[in-house]
Amino acid sequence: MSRFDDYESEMKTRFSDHDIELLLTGGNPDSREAADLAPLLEMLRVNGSYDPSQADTQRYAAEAAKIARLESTRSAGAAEPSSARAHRRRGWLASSPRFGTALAAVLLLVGMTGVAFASNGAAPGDSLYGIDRALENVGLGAGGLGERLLEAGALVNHGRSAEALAHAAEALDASGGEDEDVTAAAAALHSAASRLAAMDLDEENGMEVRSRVAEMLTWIAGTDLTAQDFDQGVSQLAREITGQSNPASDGNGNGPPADVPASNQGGRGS
Amino acid sequence: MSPDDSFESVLQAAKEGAEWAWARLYRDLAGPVTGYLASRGAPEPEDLAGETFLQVARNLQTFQGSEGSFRSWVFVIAHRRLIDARRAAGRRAEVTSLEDALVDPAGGDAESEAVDQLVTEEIRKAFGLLTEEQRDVLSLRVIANLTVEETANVMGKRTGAVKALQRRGLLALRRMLDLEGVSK
Repeated sequence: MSRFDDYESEMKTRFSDHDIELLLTGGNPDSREAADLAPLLEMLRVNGSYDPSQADTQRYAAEAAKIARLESTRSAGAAEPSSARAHRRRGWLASSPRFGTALAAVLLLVGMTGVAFASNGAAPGDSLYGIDRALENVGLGAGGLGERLLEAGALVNHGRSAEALAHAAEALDASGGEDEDVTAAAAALHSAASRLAAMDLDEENGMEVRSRVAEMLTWIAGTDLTAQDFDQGVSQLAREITGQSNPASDGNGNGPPADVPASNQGGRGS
Repeated sequence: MSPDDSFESVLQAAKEGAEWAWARLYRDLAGPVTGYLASRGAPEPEDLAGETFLQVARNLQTFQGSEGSFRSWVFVIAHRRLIDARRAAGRRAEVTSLEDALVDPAGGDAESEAVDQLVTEEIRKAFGLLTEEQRDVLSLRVIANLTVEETANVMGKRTGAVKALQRRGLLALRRMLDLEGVSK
């Protein structure tokens, strides 16, 4: 045990959770060890305090209110017909505006925790927790394909692209039913996961794969394509993730569906 | 917010585009958000806080949750904006960290200003010892006044990880004080 470990062990006993909470919330800690830090933290608090001006408040409130009115009108006008239509086509995937936000949240968390991962290697499961909280915040979290895709996004964020593909494949497997047969799409993802797991990627290619997998997950969640077209789109994207970017190689000679992201239609150039 | 102006009613009014509701939300959150962004080295913290707020307006229709969740959600957006700003600035923020963002206290007589200056220098030195994540946690807890759970949400971490980061950060600060005491 190092001298610092000794020190930390000692301080844990004299620097209680209760004192830490008091310190961080501006209270008066019981112990002298904690109380000595209070002036530093108070100075930080004072230096970091800002009072918004009246002019800024009025300006941003007016602009935000205008945006909110526009968004309110837009969501009221567009939500019902499109969601009902999408639900008929894809009964296994919620298409509510809240799901859109959850998708935005996963991309946000992918970026955000990506920084943390790059800096010190976050513990497995951290980002899943973050995803769960994001879902909670937008009122989702009851499970289903949407949530599984978000979890896959979290795995991508941790550099676990192959596991993300496998997770998405299992989610598709579980989501299929009487209305949809997505077996081929799930199989394509399982296959891509196996290939990816066997690949030895350098950092640059690894990042590219992560980006492609994240893009594919977003496409899966957002596309209106059904059944065979959906299978074809997923298969195409899955092949491209592992560098197998021949659109005609799916056996039926068809190219990628029209709404497959253009950046994914040219392969990784490998 | 007063009991008569519950968060739920303010939120609903904001979703409907009521300017008074947005003014209320802005007054409540602009200060902490700006303070947090400044402490983490945002190039233009007030502008970035404004952008954060307008993004909140764009996304608010999709938000459902408590006041605590809302506060946390706003900081998630602010955090994301911060990362974008850092990238746009060519990662300038990596060298413009918390201790660089601290401003000298305003006003007061010469003696108190001198004392404040000493304390400010102390903070600069102290926070220079912390890791980026420890600074994030302390900024979110102290300046943004977020709870452990809200901080964990913003950082995409478990609450246990946030508790460990804040403890280690405070221990590092405490250790610095101890070493200075020995050397004096």
